[in-house]
Amino acid sequence: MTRVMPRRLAVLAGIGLALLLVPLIGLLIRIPWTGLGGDIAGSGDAVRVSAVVSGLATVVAVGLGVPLAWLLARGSFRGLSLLRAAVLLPIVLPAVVSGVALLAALGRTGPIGGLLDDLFGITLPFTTAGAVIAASFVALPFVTLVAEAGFRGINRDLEEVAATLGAGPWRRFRRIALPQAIPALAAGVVLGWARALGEFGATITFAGNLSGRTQTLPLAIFFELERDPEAAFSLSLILVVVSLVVLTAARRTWSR
Amino acid sequence: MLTCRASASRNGFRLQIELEASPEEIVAVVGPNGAGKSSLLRILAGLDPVGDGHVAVDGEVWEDTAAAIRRPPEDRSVGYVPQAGLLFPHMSVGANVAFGTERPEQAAGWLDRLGLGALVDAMPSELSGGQAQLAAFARAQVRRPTVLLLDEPLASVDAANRAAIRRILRRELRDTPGYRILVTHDPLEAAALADRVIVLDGGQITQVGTVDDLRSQPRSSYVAELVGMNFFSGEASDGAIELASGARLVSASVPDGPALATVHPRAISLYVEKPTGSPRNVWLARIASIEPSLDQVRVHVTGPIDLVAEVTRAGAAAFSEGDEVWVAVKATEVAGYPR
Repeated sequence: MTRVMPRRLAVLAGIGLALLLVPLIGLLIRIPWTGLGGDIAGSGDAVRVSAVVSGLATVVAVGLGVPLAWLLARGSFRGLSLLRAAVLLPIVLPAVVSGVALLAALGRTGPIGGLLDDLFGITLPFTTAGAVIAASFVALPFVTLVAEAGFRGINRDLEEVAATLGAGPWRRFRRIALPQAIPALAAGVVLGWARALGEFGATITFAGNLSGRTQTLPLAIFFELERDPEAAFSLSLILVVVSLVVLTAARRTWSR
Repeated sequence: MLTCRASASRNGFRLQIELEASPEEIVAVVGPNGAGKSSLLRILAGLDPVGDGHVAVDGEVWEDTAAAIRRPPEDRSVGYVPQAGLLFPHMSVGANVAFGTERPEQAAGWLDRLGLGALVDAMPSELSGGQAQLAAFARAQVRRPTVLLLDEPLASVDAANRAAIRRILRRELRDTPGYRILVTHDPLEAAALADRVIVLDGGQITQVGTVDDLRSQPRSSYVAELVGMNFFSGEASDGAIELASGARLVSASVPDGPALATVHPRAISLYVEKPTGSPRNVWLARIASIEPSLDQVRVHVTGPIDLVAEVTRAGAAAFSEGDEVWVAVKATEVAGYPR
């Protein structure tokens, strides 16, 4: 067997691994294992808000991101590359800027927010719905990016054959394109959900830090760090474990 | 009647054709790679636009650029069997065949009929090239399309199964009512499956006829090569054809004027010594190459007239590449016809 790993690459890979693992090990060392149950029980609200917000945001991001990805993958019109850049912008934008932008547009004094308030009496900032919108806003580009790559990778000839078999655009998408893109879409769901779960900056800017309504786990952890650092470590463990479980499960499903 | 006039340009390639087909015949479109054969099928199926022209089937206009009519593929009664079948990889064979029909229960019957009954629940990846091709054929046929289009139906079938699959296709095509058009680059396939052959070269139709027509009077060196004949073009007068090289070929049957002629490779004799006797065409040439085929040996000779002779293995043993050789062709073997 030939050696696949040049020594200089191995050294750099080792340093990279250490950079990723050392903070996690530090976290494990600092966790107050005896008081763990109490810390977690005491923040049941944040866990619940995080589950609801990240879950709903994933549904929104997938529901809108998949059609958007299809448009980007198959559309052919002027300004498509500009549109693609705009869709991906929130990935590179600092989350706090996303929050400020949401506030500007959807806040009570913003153009859309004001309209919603005047017409329906709906206020989004500082509500759970606002937190879902913030998380969706940051998760959507990830879902779109991955799904678009998936749609680009499928064999278009099969859709043509389906057309000659009488299948219209919707049936071709639903029965031929979508099933072929399943692995990419699954990756998109996981990435989008992970992004929504870890969302901090946009949420706190747009939805605030209201316990039981908009205070998700990352927000709770940040504020516990001032008050009770040990509780912050305990809550961080929840996020680490949940993320690890989901990533492992997802990897196992894809590599089948 | 199916009529199609297409004038389409794509990536610098121009397809310019006019064709008619009747439901009483099976049409084969032959031509070299890049001649536009697959493009023609795609245009008929509605996958590519005609450019400028029309497609009409039984009086129904499927496409007409002048009237701005264009039916998408899903609104045309076509059965399109692409090269390599292209079964949907995520569906069972049965689901593939049932995809395009409102009566999915007919899928199993079609698979049975093609000898694939046991593979209803198999996935496409488990099929051989020939089985995939037949399953794709069933998937198109279950819809009972008005126009059936086959793109290189045997190209993805391995040599050992080709004859068997060809026999099944021949039977099925003959039993299928409606327009049947297949594309192939294999003259054997065209001869076995089709009644009429359309030769496409460089995006244009260069010859139309039965396989026999093509064999007896090819109109281009491509067709001559396809049917395995030596091909000559020149000016005929007094029973001899003067070729562009200046060489003359005596023919027992050629009218005066611009002429074409064929000579079967087996009608050409090669001699080490100058032959005595009756042949009217005798000349000294050189052997360019010797190429064994299954039962014969093909000898390429160059000289005043380039041609290919087919001789027995025993006969070829007397020659080697680069040798001088006497070529003899009887005037009765030079089949001349007007150009």
